[in-house]
Amino acid sequence: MVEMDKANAIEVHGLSKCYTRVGASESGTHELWALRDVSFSVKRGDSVGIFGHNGSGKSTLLKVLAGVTKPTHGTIAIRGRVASILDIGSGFHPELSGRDNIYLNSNVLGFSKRETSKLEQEIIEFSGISEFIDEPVKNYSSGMFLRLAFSILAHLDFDVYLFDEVFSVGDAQFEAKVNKTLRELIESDRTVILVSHQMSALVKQNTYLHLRSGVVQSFGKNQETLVDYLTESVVGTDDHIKVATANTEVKEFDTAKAAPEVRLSEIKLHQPDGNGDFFRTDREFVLDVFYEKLDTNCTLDVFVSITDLQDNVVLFTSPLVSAPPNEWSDAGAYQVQCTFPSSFFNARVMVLNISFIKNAKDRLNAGAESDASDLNSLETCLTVHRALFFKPTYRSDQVSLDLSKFEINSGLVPAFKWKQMKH
Amino acid sequence: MSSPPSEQVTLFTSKPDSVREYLKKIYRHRGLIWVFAMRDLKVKYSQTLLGISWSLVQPLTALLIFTFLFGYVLKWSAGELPYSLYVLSGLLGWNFFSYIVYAGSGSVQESSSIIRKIYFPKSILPLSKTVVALIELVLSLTILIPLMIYFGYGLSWRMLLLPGVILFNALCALSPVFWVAAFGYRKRDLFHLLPFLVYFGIWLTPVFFVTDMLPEQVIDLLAWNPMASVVDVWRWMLFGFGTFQMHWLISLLAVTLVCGAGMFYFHRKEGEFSDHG
Repeated sequence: MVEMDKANAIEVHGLSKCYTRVGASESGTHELWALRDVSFSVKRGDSVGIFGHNGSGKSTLLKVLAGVTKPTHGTIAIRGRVASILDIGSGFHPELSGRDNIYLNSNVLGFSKRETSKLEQEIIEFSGISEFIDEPVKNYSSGMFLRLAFSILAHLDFDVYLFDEVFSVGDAQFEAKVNKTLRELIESDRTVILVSHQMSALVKQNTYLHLRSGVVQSFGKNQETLVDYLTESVVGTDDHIKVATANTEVKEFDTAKAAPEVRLSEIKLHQPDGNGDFFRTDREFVLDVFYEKLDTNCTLDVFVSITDLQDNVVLFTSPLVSAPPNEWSDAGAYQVQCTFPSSFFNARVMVLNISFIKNAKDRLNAGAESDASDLNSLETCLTVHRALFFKPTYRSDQVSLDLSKFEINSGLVPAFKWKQMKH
Repeated sequence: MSSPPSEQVTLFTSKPDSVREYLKKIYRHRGLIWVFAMRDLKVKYSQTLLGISWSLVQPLTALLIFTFLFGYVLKWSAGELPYSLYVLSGLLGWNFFSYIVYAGSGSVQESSSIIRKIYFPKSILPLSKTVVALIELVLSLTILIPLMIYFGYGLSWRMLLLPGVILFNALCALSPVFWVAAFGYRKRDLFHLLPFLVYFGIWLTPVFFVTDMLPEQVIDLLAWNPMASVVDVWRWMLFGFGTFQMHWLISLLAVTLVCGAGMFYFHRKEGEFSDHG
């Protein structure tokens, strides 16, 4: 019996992994250190999201944890039965029927025939492919294959689950089942280790491990490390882009995408009631967009969309939402201003994108008469993606509740009018 | 998801497991030997009408052709033992050997996708091929037994040695397998030697010919071929053909050592299998 802390499910000490390729070059052996001196321990019931750039050693770490690859240095101790789902359906044989593969797969994963036969019916029902269960899996569509493979995993009882990006499976209905299963696993006393590039999968974990070039960059429960990583991977390499945390103005934009009709000259984001040191979530934001109209033959309207670092749209707005289209067609300098209410944004990185729409007036007026027009027919003449990055800091005078502690995965946390009544 | 969490701790280090630890791991994963064997059989005979009875067709055909060619046309004879029984018993041992050599040597490559995803002791793979060969051996006994009864051969105390004979035969086959598989995951050269072993080896082993037909000096050389001993042991055990030879035991000892060393080398190398395609 190996000595291991009772509360821990996984202990990794000084783990390094070196891949050698003999004879790859004239000079002899070529060494590649995929992991260097990695140490961490995971408590039973914790769920760990591992992230990092491609080639940072994430998958190697998972393989070593699964025992598939031997470490070059260091030790790993794992308590309990381990499901290594490095590739969904890896134990499948194409010539065998779905039913036979249930037994094969669960056996390969360490479950006896008796244990499996109790679960057989449930697995088949969960997969939703009972009609085809006695067909060889080589005749399955990839969706059916994945459904069956995931159903098997979902019903077998492991202590530690190692997942390597397996969640983009099947249709929306099945994906919901997958997410539900994953959530149940995370909430249970099972230990989950997940490697992913998907923010949505990572944020569900309660611990985060950031690998960079095989070295542990950070390890802990602080979700900030994940947000920082995402900010870095989007902004990172480009020195021109900075995440604004206080009143800011941007005058230089990607000029490659010039339009003959318009030139974006400046964007200003400021908080008139703020303290000037940093953006507060509980103050109004004022956005000013300055542009130069170069063409006299059209009208222009501004669209603003705010996205998160994954390009999910947090909000979309435009003067057109609440006012008729712009009537001015003269060339010259223009300004459009928008005020975002206080207590509206969450304290995370937001990305501003600005588009200019041509001749919205004609299109929308024509639509009113002929019914032939819709928003799709609007013509965009210039779109500036990622014109400005900003991040407010959570502050509130009103409430004692610090929302930032709740790690809410939402771009907006708006203050609405609430009433509470007692009857 | 109801059973209590298992307390068993698995340890992975840079050092290879001790031999004892490794044998323990094989024992813990022994279910897989059977699972892989059943998978192979199912795959081989799924989507066929005759199913498993196909495994009888090959020895039956061989029996008819070789008995006709060597026994009837060339008039080769094994003394009191009918030539058909002589050939069939020889093929029994040889087919067992050649199946394990072929399937076992390629088993690591064949399962490379599983190896890269799931951990288990890789010796399981050649061992499961041995189980497949064993099942096919038992099936071919269904041809041999009626033929033995027809020619008036009955039970004998020597048949209690059957497990030992099968073990001798299997050790003979696994000796090259572990070495070839351990070397072959990186460089495939040794795979090209296997056809020589199997196709030409049969002519250096008394499967078709009878030892008495050979010149004196050659008979002595035959003692150096462990498979010659295996085939002779089979016939001695089944029919009381020939007499017990001391060099059989020496052969058994030799292949046990070679096979054991091969398995040890294989075990030392298996940590690298998943790092290379």
